[in-house]
Amino acid sequence: MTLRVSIDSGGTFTDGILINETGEALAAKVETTPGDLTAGTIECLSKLASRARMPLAQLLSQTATIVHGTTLATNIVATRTGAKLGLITTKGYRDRMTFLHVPKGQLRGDVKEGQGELFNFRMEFPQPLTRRYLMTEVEERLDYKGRVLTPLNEQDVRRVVAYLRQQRVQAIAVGLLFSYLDSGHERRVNEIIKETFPEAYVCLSSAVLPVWGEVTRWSAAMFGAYVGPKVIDYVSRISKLLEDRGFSGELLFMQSNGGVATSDVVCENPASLLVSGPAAGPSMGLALTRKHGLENVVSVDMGGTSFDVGIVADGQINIVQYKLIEGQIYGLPSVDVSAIGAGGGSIAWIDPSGRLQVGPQSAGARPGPACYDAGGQEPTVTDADVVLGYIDPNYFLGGEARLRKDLAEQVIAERIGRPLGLTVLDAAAAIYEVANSKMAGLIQLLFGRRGCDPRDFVLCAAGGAAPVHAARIMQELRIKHLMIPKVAPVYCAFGMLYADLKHNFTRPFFCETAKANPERINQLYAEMESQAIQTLRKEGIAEKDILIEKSMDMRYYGQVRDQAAAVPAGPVTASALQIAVNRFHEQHRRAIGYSDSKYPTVIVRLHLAGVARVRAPQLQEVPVDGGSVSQAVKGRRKAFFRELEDFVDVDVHEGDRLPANTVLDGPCIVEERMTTVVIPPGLKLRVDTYGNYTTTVQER
Amino acid sequence: MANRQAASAAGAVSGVDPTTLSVVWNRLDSILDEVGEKVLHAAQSFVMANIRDLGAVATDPAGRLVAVSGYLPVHLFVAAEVVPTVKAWFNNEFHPGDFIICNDPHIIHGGHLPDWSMVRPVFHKGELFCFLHFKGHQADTGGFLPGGYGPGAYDIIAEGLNIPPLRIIEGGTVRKDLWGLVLRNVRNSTQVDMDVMLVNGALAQAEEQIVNLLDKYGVETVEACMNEMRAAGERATRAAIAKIPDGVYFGESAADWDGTTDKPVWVRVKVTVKGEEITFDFSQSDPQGDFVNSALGCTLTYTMASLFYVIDPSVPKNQGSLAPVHIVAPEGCVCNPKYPATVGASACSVGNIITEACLIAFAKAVPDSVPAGFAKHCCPMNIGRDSRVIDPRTGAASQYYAETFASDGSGGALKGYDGWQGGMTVGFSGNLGRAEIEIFESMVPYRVPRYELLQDWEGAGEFRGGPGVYVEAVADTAPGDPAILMTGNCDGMVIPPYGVAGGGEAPRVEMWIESPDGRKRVLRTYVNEPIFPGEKWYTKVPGGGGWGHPLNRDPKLVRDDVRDELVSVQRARDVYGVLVDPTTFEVDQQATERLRKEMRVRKQ
Repeated sequence: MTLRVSIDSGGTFTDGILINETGEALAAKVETTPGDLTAGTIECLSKLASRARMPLAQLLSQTATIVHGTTLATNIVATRTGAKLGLITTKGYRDRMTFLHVPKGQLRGDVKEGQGELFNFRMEFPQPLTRRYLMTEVEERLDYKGRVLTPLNEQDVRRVVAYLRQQRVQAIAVGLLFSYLDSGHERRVNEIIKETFPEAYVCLSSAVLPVWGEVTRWSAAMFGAYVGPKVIDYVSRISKLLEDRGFSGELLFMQSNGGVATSDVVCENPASLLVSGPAAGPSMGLALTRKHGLENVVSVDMGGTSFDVGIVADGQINIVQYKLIEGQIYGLPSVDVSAIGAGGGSIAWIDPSGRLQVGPQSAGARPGPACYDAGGQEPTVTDADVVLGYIDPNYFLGGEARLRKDLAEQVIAERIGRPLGLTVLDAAAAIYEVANSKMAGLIQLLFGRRGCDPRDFVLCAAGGAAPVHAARIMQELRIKHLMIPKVAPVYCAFGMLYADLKHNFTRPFFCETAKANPERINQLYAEMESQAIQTLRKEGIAEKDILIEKSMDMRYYGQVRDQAAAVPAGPVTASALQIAVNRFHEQHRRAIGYSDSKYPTVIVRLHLAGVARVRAPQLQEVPVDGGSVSQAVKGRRKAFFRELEDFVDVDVHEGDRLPANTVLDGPCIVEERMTTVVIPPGLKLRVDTYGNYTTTVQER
Repeated sequence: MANRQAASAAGAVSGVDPTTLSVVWNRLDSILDEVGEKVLHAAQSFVMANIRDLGAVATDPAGRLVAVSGYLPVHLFVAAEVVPTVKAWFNNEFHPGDFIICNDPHIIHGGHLPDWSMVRPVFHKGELFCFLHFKGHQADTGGFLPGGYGPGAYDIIAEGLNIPPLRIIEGGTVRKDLWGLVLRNVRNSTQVDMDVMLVNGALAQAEEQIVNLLDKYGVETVEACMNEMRAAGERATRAAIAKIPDGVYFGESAADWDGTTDKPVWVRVKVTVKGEEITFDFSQSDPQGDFVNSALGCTLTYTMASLFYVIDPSVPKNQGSLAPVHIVAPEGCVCNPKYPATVGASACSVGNIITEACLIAFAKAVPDSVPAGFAKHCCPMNIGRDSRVIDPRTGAASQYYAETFASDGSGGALKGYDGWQGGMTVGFSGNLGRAEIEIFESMVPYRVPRYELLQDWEGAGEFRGGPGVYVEAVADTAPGDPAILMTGNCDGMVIPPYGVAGGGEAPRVEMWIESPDGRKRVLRTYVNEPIFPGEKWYTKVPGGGGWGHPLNRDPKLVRDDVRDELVSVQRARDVYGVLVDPTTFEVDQQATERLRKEMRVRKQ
């Protein structure tokens, strides 16, 4: 039992990694099977087994852990194929979740598409996860201090449960006002459901996310109930399939908080599987750049349709508590990864003002870019990359596919070149630059929000499409270090092997800091700590291996949004509290541009995470004397570089044959099986001990 | 090579290659977005923080709008009036690190007093390059009523503090005398202080980013890009106007009253489309009254809003898009008031009426592009002091000023789309948030027992308006503490949301207060009404108007609405001509077709 495996089923592809004791890694990529996701998962495992030259049963019997990230929950929401969902709320509030509760401008993703949307209502209203006739209410009410104003009317509860049962809902979300202060009523509703409608899957808002703000809390319960039945079904089926095929190790699932959890724990909180895939990126980036002593990393993952960015400052993975998924608020902790529609498949177009735009529409995998010759009629980023000579049409996906450069040229000339009065080449160069600038813009925006300076960061660029663009993004942002991981095309699958077991707990604690009672704070932390320990023990972790991380959300008195400040380890004393407050001021100054250390602050809620570190995989080293650079040159081809204002002949190297410590002068191209690294003139590319590519801009 | 060729290309009139233009344009947009996000995150002003009542723009060196952020429209286009005024006020003499605030509606023509304009000149290597303008609704602005925004002020002096362009930060140093004077004259000054200072902080960070952009591309290139952005805005707007049939179109709508004289206040507009240009003539509007007057910058904004609603949404919105638009609003009319007129409802109520009048005119020209009427802004503002809560910032009793934003109604329908539920007013255009009630109840001594959609309160249509909204709130105030409902932000008791292309109107607003002993009194719009402990206020706000005739609505959609209890079985039959079984929710297809045929004949 020495093997470790990770399987990342994404929207288009399912990636798999197999690592043995010596750190030797094998990768596999198969198409995701949306109808029955278990099929793609098993196929990916089979492919790994054949790469390892052993039968699947043998591979599984030798595997200690399988870490599994899955797009399942995200897909259920995106395609609206979740449970038939009932909602039980406080009397007077059945409609609360159906109002437009996020600004229209935020509906289309993490970065607004600019002022174009200001007056535009020509789009569908973001519908809640269930219909109004399945939203019910019961008589009960707490006030803002958690005092009972109206006791729970149990008759009412029985009535609505009977109604929902008659309507044949599969799941029920329970969200009552101020239940984060006292969950008694919600728990009683749950008991009555268990008694009279035991088949229904139930999520209580006070259990899933006990936070201030009914929309955020109830939304979490609705997500949980909506995806719950299918998640549980998938988890149990895949566990059984693996067991039947000889697997007796541990199956772990990637969660949105960047940590992993066992199947039992996931089934208790299925909403934590939403947006879990990209969550592995930042920790992977950090693990790789740490090898070079760098703790500030911006991790980017550019695939076919989206460009995911996560910023890690001072070695800390940032966790956020607000995200929009399909127009609904997702308030569970999730790794701070933002996405825009920019990938290899992103479509270039000209807007009515004559401005060249790239994305957010994507040609996807089918029909895909024009050069795929599958009927794509729109010019895409990949088409531009082919025209510019960056991607070899005859060596796409290691030669598994051949691309038609002529089709790419034709469509770029027609759709972009002619209207803008540019040659094909200039049009392709413009698409390339606008795409780069859009990606750089997202990174810049995120740096701005975090109050970080790009010049202090290393750009870790992964995903199949990023290595073609990364050097330019680095230049645009004035970033000094670039790393392109050897595992770039299967980045997140690899990152999952680095993910720790991690569970988040939270308690509302609304109090002016000056009046805060450290004893009460310690009591709440102790409660959460024992919950964390309990959960991790269930996952087989010894208490001595459990790390506890504490933080608190704080704000200036009068603000309505907060910033998290880490709380020093150990019991919370007055001086520990002061350290957290100072961190809050500093963070506020960096993020907003202003702070006032004399202004009264408020503690809003307490967070605790229980973490059990996994043994990080040993990366395999690349031999230093593994051959010469000239042996790695597989040919020359013409590629376009704007500095040279023309196509030039550049050496194309085979990545797998480059020895460690190789230094190549730009312009140059390195081909990996599933991606291509493009380095413009003036930069040097270095191969590190692990086969990763790095570039450093020299200070002038 | 790329640059040289692009420079000679037809589209690149200003000598900038399209690539650089896209890069600079996107970057300016995202820099402004970032300012908005920062202030939104950190603001204390209830309306800025909870409902995004703010906006940021960048102008060129001459003060012309170049880029605007995606926040509340009223805070964006108004900069076209404000920045040139500020430049002239200071003879265009600024220093790096200056920060100017202003709100005087008779100098800057912005809007109501709580919306403060803040201007930061941007310097590059010691030279003035351009201006950043931020506008947002402050927690207080002095005056006779908390909030600086209530009907019944004797004049603009009583309404609130009038701030001419005031350089409160000079070369990076706060001028304590000036800023101290302002802060002594507003309530909750610690809130206002921090909110304003953090806007300056966010703008300073934006300035740094613009400087980076200038370092990278050079001043000339960025200026050329800015010129081209404006030119693109003008080209696109002209092309869009050219698509509207030439002609003269009339539209009118009215605010309920002005809080003083009991008659509706009419905004009348004559829209003349001629080729690529358009004129909005407000000469026939009512003369200025009290409180509801719209300052010229506000009139400009809400007029442009109507145009942007009907033309292609991707048309760039900046000074260029204003070029082919002419606004005629004689001084002294409700759309361009003279000193010392009050302007409290400038934006939130009459602004919407202006957009509405213009859209009603457009409905005669391009009905396929015009949305039906939205519910007007309507949500009583809760103002008072709570002696039971001590504010640690001041050591005194908590002074609150907040509204639930629950009462606001829904959007109007567009061809192809039903109105958005809870989409609020036409002026907000869905860009505000809705406050969480748990947060509201924790900050203000009110409870909200009901917050619901209303059945049969939509404007019917082939595409129907969003549903109406019903809200109740109880005053948990302490005896003796002042508690006022300010309804100067409410309208819609006289003129309902209109329908388009045969779509139906939505109902009119109803509001009332009920005492614990059961006595009711009507709560009017545009009043400051005391409310006493234990009393409840109620609002019924309509949905939006409908688009297209309700008999053309897909019966399946009518059935869904009946199933969801948004439309009653009876209304489905009487208005939509659809027969839905009340227990199975099946549509009787044949009977429906028959009934619809009959109803169509009857209509003729």
